[in-house]
Amino acid sequence: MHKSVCRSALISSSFLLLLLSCEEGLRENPAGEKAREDPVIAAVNYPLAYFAKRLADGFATVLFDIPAGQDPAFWEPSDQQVTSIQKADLILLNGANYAKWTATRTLPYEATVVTSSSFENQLIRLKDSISHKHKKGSESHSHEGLAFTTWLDLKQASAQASAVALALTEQFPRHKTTLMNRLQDLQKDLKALDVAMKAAASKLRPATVITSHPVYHYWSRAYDLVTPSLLWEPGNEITPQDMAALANIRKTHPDARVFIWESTPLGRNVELLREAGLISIVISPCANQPAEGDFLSVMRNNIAALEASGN
Amino acid sequence: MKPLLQVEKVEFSYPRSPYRMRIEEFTCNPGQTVAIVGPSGCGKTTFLNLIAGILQPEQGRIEVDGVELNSLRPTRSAAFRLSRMGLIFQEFELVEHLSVGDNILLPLHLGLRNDRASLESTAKQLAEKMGIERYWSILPASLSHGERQRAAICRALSTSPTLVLADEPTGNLDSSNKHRTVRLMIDSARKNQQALVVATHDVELLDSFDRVIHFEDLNQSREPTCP
Amino acid sequence: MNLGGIAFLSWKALRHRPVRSLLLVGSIALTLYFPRALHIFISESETVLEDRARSTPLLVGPEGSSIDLTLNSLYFTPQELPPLKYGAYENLVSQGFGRTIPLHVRFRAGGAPIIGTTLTYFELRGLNLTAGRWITRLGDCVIGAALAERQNLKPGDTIISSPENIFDLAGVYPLRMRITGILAPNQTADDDAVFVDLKTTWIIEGLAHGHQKVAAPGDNALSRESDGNVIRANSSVVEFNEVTTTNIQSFHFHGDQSTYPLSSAVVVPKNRKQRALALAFYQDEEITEQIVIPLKAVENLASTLFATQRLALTAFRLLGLAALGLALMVFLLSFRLRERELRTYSKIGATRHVIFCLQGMEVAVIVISAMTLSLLAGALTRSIAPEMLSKLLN
Repeated sequence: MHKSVCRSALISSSFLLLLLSCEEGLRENPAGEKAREDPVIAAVNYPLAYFAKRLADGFATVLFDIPAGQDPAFWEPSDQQVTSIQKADLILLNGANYAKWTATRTLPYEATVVTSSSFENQLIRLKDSISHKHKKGSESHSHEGLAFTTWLDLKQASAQASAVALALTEQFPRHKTTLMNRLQDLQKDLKALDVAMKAAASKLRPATVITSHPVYHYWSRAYDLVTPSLLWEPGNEITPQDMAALANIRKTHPDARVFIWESTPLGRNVELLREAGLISIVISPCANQPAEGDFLSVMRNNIAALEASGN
Repeated sequence: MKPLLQVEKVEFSYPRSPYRMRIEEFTCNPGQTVAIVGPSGCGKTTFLNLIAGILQPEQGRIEVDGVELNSLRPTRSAAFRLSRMGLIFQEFELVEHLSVGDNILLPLHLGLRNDRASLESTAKQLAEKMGIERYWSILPASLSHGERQRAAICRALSTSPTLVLADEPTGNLDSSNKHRTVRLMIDSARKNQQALVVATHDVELLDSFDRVIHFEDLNQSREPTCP
Repeated sequence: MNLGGIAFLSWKALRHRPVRSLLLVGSIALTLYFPRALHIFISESETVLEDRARSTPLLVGPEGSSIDLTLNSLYFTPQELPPLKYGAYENLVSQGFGRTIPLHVRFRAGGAPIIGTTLTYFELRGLNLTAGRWITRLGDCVIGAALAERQNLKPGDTIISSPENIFDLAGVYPLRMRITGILAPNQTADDDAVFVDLKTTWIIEGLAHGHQKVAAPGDNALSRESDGNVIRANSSVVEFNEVTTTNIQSFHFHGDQSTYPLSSAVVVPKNRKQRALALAFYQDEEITEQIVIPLKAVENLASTLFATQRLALTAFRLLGLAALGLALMVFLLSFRLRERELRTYSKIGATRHVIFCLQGMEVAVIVISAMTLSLLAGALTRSIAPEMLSKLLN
């Protein structure tokens, strides 16, 4: 596990070296930068939109229009929305088959950047899948294939930020210095979060942490936690069948004391879990734009919640 | 009065043919009409062709209106014929694909430098006199023999020539048309002081002419007379 | 000499025998036209081929005839070579030799080739839309102006891909495609083509498909439902033959994408270095793909065409001489037939010069008419040469 994380870090720093070394190559084609007045960078999820905003603020606009409350992984754009995204100078993809719509829509191949390609061989392949719905009436989906919440491993998030920076540098070479400085700042922030997350997670070890949804694969791998998952929604009241499923997990993981929700659960759910001896905390994947704060603050809240549960 | 047409000591023969022609003297004054008679093939057409400058004599002199034709180059001779002579042929020689009007105006198309308007007006008056003005725009193929002959005469006279040469002009016409046609030519000759020489073997018409000459009397050659 | 009169008499004579005159004009015009048309067609073809080749700097494709590869990629001629694997294309992209545009030219719809590509292709060719919008999803297409006009198609209509042959009932998918836009004409093969996302051609190929959820495979009642919008893949699952807003999520790809087929990839290097690197890369004997400079391939083709042209021109010249000899004989015979008429002119007083001018004028009218006709036909050939070439190639 540590080995793969180290490799991610190595890849991440090699991006920085690449940024430095590509200067000569880019000079050969100064016309490489599009002569557009207001360049647009589209992103398929909020973390990438946040990275892009941090890096390109002031010389490019970030396009991320997925309505609040929708999971960008399963969002379906309209033709007009695809047309807007097609016009973007850069389209930041998460990789790991994230955002299914990208496979069935026409995107300008050259504008797309798969931000997880540097750790492509470390992606987690899921074996089991159950089709389910998040809301009544919504499309059902399954989590088969690859685990895609890559950025919850903050080292991977840092590698993705590097990929965004590299693509931006190729697109806007005259902002290279700014981009490099901003990337360093961003990576410093992400590293600090990673260290804090690691410290908070260590306090829970060796106990098992039960998660409401199977989106914590990279997080649990990065922070060395065992995270069996259910398919619960924070807004749905826990049913006796759900409790039976929980009991089933607890049979194999009797040490579990903490239950992780994707977002704030119903008070009744928290109560029920407390009665069952589990502390509810929220570790938000932050796939969509938070109502308050930004990616960093949401991650800090996640760390704080984790720390609180460990005390 | 000086004759308009003077033929003196003219000799002619066709290559590889025993036929010979020798005319000692022949004259025709302005306004005079002459009929040359003789059997078919005796040389009347050859004689007219010599006068017209279409054939060249071996010896002798042919003078028309003071111009010695046989001294002219072929081009000048043709131009002289076009402007000063009117020729009427036995077979009419109308051009199939030209309308009657265009046939009558043919000398103009072939380079006659007369005023087009006045020539056209003269031609139309003649056509009217000859009763063919209604055929002006149609092709000769739809005309009767008599009408075609009148068109041919109209063509010969429309240029107001000084000498009119007609070769059997009534050969294809019925009796009434013959007289009408000959009368028209003779009237025109007298009115316009033209010399008219008609080769014919039709004795019915001879009374109308000022002079009638038997071609055998004219041709003094002792050789066979049929060309 | 009265030139007007001569012209008048000549015109009357020509008009009197219209069939003879027209036959003469036609045969002389054809004699003059054929070598000229061949020359025009070949030189125009060369220009058109070279123009398109020039805007296609490099082509990567499977090994085989470089001319086949070039014509397939530039003129969408039927694919003669084996497919290029998508993995090889990805490898090419990863080399960073410049812009790389995939092309998959195998299928047809409405008699026109279907071109599976990316949006960059439209940029490369400078194509714009006269109506509608660009493709946004699987099953969308934009079509060329000529195809739209010929089949009276507009945005919002659909066009169905054709089976590769009439016996191919179970093979290639007849996919109903949504026309989202009509391209502005650019007088190239693009005018008569259907452009789709590369992935759409893989649906037609049968490598991707969408079907009803197989959540309850035993539910035979569901599979028996008849719907004009679906075709049956088997007895229990219905596959969609059209991508719609409601079924788009069900479309998915099977197998290893790196083995998916393409016809070729256009490479547009950003600079000389990238071009040199790309050319050098494909010199490696272990690489099974070839790189082609389309301009060179077209020049090779043009030199073959020129050799053929020289041969054909020699034949045409000999035939032309024979035809002109025949025309001369027709003139002479015609003058012989009109001897009586010409003699009349002569007797009345036309000089030899006038007679000669009359004859010359008739010949001149015929020859000038024939030359004019041949020039007009030549100009027409020049204007339709690109279209003819496109049609001939397809």
